[in-house]
Amino acid sequence: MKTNEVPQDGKRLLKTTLVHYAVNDEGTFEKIPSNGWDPGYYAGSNLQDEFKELAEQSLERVKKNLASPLEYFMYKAFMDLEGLAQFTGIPKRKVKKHLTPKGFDMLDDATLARYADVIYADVETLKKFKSTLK
Amino acid sequence: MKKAIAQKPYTHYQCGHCESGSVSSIVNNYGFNLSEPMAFGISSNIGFVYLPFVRIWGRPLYAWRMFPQSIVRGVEKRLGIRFYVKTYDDEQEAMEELDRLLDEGKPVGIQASIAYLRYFLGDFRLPGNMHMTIVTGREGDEYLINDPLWDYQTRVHRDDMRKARFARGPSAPKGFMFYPLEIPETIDYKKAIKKSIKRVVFMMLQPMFPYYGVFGIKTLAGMIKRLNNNPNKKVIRGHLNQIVMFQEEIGTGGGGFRYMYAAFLREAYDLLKIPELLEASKKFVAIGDKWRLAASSCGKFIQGKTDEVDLEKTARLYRICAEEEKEAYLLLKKIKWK
Repeated sequence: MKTNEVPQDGKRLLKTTLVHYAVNDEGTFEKIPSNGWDPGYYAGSNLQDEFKELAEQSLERVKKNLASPLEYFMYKAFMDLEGLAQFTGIPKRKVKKHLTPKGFDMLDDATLARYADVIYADVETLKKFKSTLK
Repeated sequence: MKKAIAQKPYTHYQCGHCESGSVSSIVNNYGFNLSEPMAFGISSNIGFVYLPFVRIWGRPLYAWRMFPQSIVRGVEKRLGIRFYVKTYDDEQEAMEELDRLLDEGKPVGIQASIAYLRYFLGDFRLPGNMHMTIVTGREGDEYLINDPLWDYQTRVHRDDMRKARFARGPSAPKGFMFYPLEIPETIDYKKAIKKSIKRVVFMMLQPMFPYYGVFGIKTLAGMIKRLNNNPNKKVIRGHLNQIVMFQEEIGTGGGGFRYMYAAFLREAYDLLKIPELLEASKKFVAIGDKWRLAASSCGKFIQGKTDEVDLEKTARLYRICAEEEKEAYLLLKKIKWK
C-alpha cells in the first residue's frame, strides 16, 4: 500500500484512527492514520445489527413465555449459547436448560450471579425482568 | 545488562496493533529504542490459522498471527530484554500491585477484556479478552490509559478496570501484567533476526496440518468455494462478515500485518544489508495488497448493496494470496546467513 492509497472512508466503530504502515516514494515505511475502511466497518456493524435483531426476537419470545430472560440478555451481550457456556464456565447442556423458562425458574442465586457477571446485568434485574415487561 | 528506568514524561505512540504496539511503546518509554514492526517481526508473530472447529458466534476462528502474549515472550527471548511478567489469582493483590507501580511512576502493560473498557466500543460490548494496553497513571478513582491504538489518552474507572483484568472466559487475562526490568547493552541483531525468520518460514511452510500456514490459506479458499452450495444468503453473508472482520477490523491481523512484516524486513535490511530481505519486503507489501483486495472483493455484498456474490472469484483471490505467500517464504528460506 502506498501512502496515498490508505483508505479514508470516514466510518469506524472505534472512535479513533487506525495506523497503517504504508510505503512512501523513497521506499521506506511510514505510519499513516486511516479514518475507516468500508468493508471492515460494515463487517463490524453487521454483527452488531445481527445480535440486536436476535435480542428483539428473543424479547418477543420472553413475552410469550417461550424463552427465559437470560436468552434476551445473552443476545444483548453479543454472545450465543456456546459463548455463554465458555465465558461462565457452565456446561453447555446446563446453559441450554437455563435458557428455557422452566429451567430459569429453578436457578439459584449463586448461578444467577455467575450469569449476571458476564451479561452485564445484576441478579435483581434478571429476576424481575419478566414482571417489568407487562 | 542495565536497569530499565521509566522515562518522564510518558511519550505516547500510536500503533497499528494492540500487543506489538504496547510492547514497543513500553520498551521505548523505559529507554530502549524498539519500533513496532521490529517487536512484531522479531517474535515471529506472523502466521495464519483457520480453525473451523473453534466456534465464535457459530462461525470459525481465523487469525493472521500467533497467540496473545507471545509478543511479550518473543521479545524477551530473542532480544534479551528482561520483562517483569506476572499473572494473579487474587484480585486485591493484583490491583494493589498495579497501584504501587503507578505511584512509583512506572507505566505498566496489562491484558484486559474490551467489554469493560468503556472507551473502546461504548455500548457495543464485544466479549474479547485479548486486548493489551498500557496504564500510565491514576487520578482519584480513575486510571489513565495510553492505549496504543488510540491517538489520545483515555480514562477508565477503577471498578471497570478490576473487571476487565479479571474477566472470565477463553484466554482469560488473570491480571496479566508486564513491564521491562533490564535492558541488554548490546544486541546481536543478526542472530535474532535469523532465528525469527527461520521460525516463520518453518511454521508457514509446514505441510502436515491443513489449518495452519500456506496450507491453511488454501483450506480457507476451498471453504469459501464450497459456500457456493449453500442456498441461504444470510449464512454466506455471516461467514464473509466474520472473515473480513477478523482480517481487517480487529487485532487478529490480515493485510495490515503483512505491511507490518514488510516494515520489519525493511528494518532488518537496513541493519544487515542482505539484498534478499529488501526483495522480500517488497513482496510482502504486494501480498498485503492482495489480502485487502480479496477482502474487498465481497465488500458490496457485505454492505448489503447487492445480493449477488461471486464466491469463485473471492476463493481465487485467497488462493493467489496463498501462492504469493509461499513464494515469499521460499525466498526467505534461501537467504544465506554467513
